[in-house]
Amino acid sequence: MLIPLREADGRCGTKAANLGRLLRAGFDVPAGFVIGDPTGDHGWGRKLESALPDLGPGPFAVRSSASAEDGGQASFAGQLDTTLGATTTAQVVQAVRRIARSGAGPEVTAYAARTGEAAGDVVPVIVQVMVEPEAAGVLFTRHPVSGADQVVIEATGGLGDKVADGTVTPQAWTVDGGGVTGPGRAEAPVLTRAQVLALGEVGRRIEATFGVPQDIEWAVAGGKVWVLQARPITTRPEGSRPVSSGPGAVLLRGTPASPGTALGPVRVITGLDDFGRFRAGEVLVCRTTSPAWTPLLARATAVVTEIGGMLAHAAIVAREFGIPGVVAAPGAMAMLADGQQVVVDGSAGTVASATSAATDR
Amino acid sequence: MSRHTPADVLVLHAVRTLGYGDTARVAARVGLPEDAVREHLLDAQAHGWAAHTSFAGDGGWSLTEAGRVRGERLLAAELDGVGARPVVEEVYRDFLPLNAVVAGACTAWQLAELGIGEQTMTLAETVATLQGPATALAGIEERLVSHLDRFAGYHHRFSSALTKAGDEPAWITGTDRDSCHRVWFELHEDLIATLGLVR
Repeated sequence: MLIPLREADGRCGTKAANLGRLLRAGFDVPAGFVIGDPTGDHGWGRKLESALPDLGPGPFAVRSSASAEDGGQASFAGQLDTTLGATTTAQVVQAVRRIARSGAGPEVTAYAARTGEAAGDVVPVIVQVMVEPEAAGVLFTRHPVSGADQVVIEATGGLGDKVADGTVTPQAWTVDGGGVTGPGRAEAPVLTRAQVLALGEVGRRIEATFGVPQDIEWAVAGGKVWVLQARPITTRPEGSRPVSSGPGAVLLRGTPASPGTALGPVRVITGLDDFGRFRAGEVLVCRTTSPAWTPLLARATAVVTEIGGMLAHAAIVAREFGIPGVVAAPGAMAMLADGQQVVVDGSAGTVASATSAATDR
Repeated sequence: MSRHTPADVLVLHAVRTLGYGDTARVAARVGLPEDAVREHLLDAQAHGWAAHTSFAGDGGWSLTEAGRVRGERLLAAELDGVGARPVVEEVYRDFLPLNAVVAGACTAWQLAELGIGEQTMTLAETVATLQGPATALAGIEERLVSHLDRFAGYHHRFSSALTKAGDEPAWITGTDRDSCHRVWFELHEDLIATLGLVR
């Protein structure tokens, strides 16, 4: 059973159902279809052979549509299985089989664990034309850490799948009403102001379509905003706006990654050979972190990194230790000097100079 | 046929993936006697590849820049020796979307624990979300181990942590134990080191 994406509904998995709804609401979603039950229905292979050329020459993206049925929780399930860049019919068939065989989505596994029954194997699979994006990324219709009512856009040039990885720093914009801030000191912005505004507008319209704040994967190609996935923001922060740090002048801005405010002396650490210089209670300033850096983070008052995003190692470990963290603050290592007293506000994403009032706190 | 990595390379690489650890932990990681591992670590220290430091009393090993560079060179030679570079590159491409799921689930759970949220992830939902990567990890490990047996163990460690997380949430992102996030991040570091990528 091949179902055109435009007709996808709840039987096709949450992800395809959401894409179907977006198509019917007039959004640009790459053309595709859903195979409802690739393991149970054996007729799909032949239908796919004739349907694939209608989509175009490829390449194609093949993804699992399995996702938590309530849609608002555990939303990462839909990302579990993806094959990008399949070009021939044989490759697409193979990818569909692999994803279908990879079995039940996590929610099905959990359900099976609760009921003690074997998990059903129905994993609907989506086949879509891959767009060749000029830029791609994610956007949130609420600030994912501060909860402010803004559209936050993270973008990289080309395919957007590195944004969540933490190894590439996405360029970030914030759209607040008609105002645009960003992308900081990026040498070559990957989006124009008009594209940023268009993305903000698409985000708002999708939020209105579904009625709750959305986490959206998008791509810009051929002058269009393509919607690749939309789902409710899993963790919707409180409505509080980020507070700009009170003390001193703001020296640096980055992505707020671990909440809280802390005061301490800066220690710039350039690499492994530099670890011996770090002292407990200092503000760790570095390019990025890896497991070797965990003992430093454990003793740091706060952390500031030059690259990475909300999902980077430094961000996750900082939250674990309950220390404020600001990531993707370009130039931090050059701008901050050892021993300098700073206030790191991990909720606002700022590093400020400490005033005497702050030092007294 | 799967290749056995020499002990001195294993020990140096364990320090890289652990990031920081005492002799006992490095020995446990590579599954070799502590005395033998200590000898390899002291050798590495003498060559300037590893450093022993102590933060507030608890001592541990970490790599120097020279050790990191040497480790990557040894791993690259091994990888090309068994002709497994295309396989590991493909595994890494498959790993990245899973990595987004794991990092995202860890983040969502932490934000929920911090109370920054109205719609928060429950522990059960977090564990359920991590089941997918846990299952996929079995296949990833199998593909790696068919060429290099030093990759064995990640799936078991991750699944064990996930099983315990249902009762004790510290097993999700705790840094004081072999938690889901720590095991996952070690694998990430392992792949990056093996392919000589820059973080």
